[in-house]
Amino acid sequence: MTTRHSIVLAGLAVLGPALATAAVAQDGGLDETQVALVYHAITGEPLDFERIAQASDAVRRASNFDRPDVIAAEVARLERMAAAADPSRSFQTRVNDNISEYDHTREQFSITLFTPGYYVPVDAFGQRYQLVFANAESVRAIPMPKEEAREFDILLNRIGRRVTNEIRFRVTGQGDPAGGVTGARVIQAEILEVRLMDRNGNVVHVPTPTAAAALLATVPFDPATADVAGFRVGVKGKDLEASLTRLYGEVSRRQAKSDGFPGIATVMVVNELGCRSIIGRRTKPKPGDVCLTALLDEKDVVRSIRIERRFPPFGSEVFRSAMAAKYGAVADARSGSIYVLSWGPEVDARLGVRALSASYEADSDFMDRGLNRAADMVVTLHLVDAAWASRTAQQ
Amino acid sequence: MKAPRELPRALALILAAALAGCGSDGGRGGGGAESVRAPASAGDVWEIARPADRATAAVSMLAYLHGLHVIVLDGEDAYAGMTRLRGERDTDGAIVVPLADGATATMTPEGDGMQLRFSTGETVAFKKRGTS
Repeated sequence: MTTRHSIVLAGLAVLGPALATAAVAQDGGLDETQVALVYHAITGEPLDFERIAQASDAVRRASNFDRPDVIAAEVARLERMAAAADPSRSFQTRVNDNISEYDHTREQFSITLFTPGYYVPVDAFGQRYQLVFANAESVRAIPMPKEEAREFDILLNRIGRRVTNEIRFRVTGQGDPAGGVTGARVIQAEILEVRLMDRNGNVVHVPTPTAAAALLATVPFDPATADVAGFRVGVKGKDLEASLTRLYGEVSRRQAKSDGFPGIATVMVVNELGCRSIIGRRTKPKPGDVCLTALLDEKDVVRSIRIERRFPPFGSEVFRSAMAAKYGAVADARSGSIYVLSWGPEVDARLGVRALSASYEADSDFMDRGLNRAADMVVTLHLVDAAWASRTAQQ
Repeated sequence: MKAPRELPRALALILAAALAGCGSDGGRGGGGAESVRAPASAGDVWEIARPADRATAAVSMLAYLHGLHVIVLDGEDAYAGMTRLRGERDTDGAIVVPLADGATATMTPEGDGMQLRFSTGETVAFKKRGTS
């Protein structure tokens, strides 16, 4: 079955991490319910059958007397559907898409849907899912020498650069490994086949996708070797202190609070809270300011290190692409007032989110806002010794 | 003749201490990525010359990600945080250091300062700490 969807741009804003979504027009056709069921079957994310049943047409039409029986029958039907969902099944969809202008530097055109931050909306069970492709990057570019590109560009101009993007895919998991699409119910899929056609069905381009597994393994995240701004966990506190003193100046130590994560004995800080705008403080933080907090265990070994630096305004896509290039496939991406990407295993909430997290956040004071001045950005990198934390929590 | 019991015990203690040292949590990251203490006084501290410059905000962020926003440069070696990047001097006198993601950064002297250039093409000016 096929369907025609419009693309939605998650649209990471230039001056803030908030996401903007565009309107969606769908022609129907793709079995969105089955896509959602396969997603739930693969990820184990629970579906509230009772809530879905209560919102169904059958229940709404039922009399008060019959409603409990109809709900029970509807729940049973949904449970049968969920049990029958086949994770190996492939789907096909058609999306209204665009091909970019020619990039003379990279000598390529690119396909809009496969650009980080874009997704295909899927509506099922009264809620929105966001379908992203883990191997989109392998088909995003249409590389072409300049001589050939001129003719292709004429063809694209003739069709208004609009194409129908026909994709065969299978659902593989949860979350956007590129980190560009955030929020709940992000369906991760793998493109199996794809072709671009004009409105008359003439094939314009046939990209060759690379298997998602091969792409995701290119830069595997390893918490044991990862560094944040050149700092690692598992090192001696005195070595960190000496390095920080040379690089950043005054370092202070204090005893950790007793209600913190067990095993953390000391907190080491540089320029504590100096990177944030705080009402009433005389000194205003400025781009280039660096702040660091490290947590050390009883043996004076660094178990968590959090570093932040202030920057003049820059786009969130710069942040996202740099982080993904260094740390690989993103395990989780969230946005709201802060845009947070994370990698590795989850850790105790007293220590962080996951073994590694990176956040991008606007910070301004009332003067900035009053003068309509673009906010500075604060980029925070936080690394936790997840293996140690897991061992310690079990003791 | 009675075998001396103290010697094997002492050897066992030394061996145990050595093994414990090998398995200690401090000192190194895994996978051969060595963490070292930045030199206390050798070399010079270099930092991004104009951190408030919006035109170089993106490349400054890239430098920060790799710990290159503030470095100790000692001969051909650069200390990015606690990561020693073993550089090589090219024919123009620039120092080329490898980065974690396979890219490189080239540091080229420019007057009193220097220019840091990533292999992806972005550049940003550095100054020696304490100079304007």
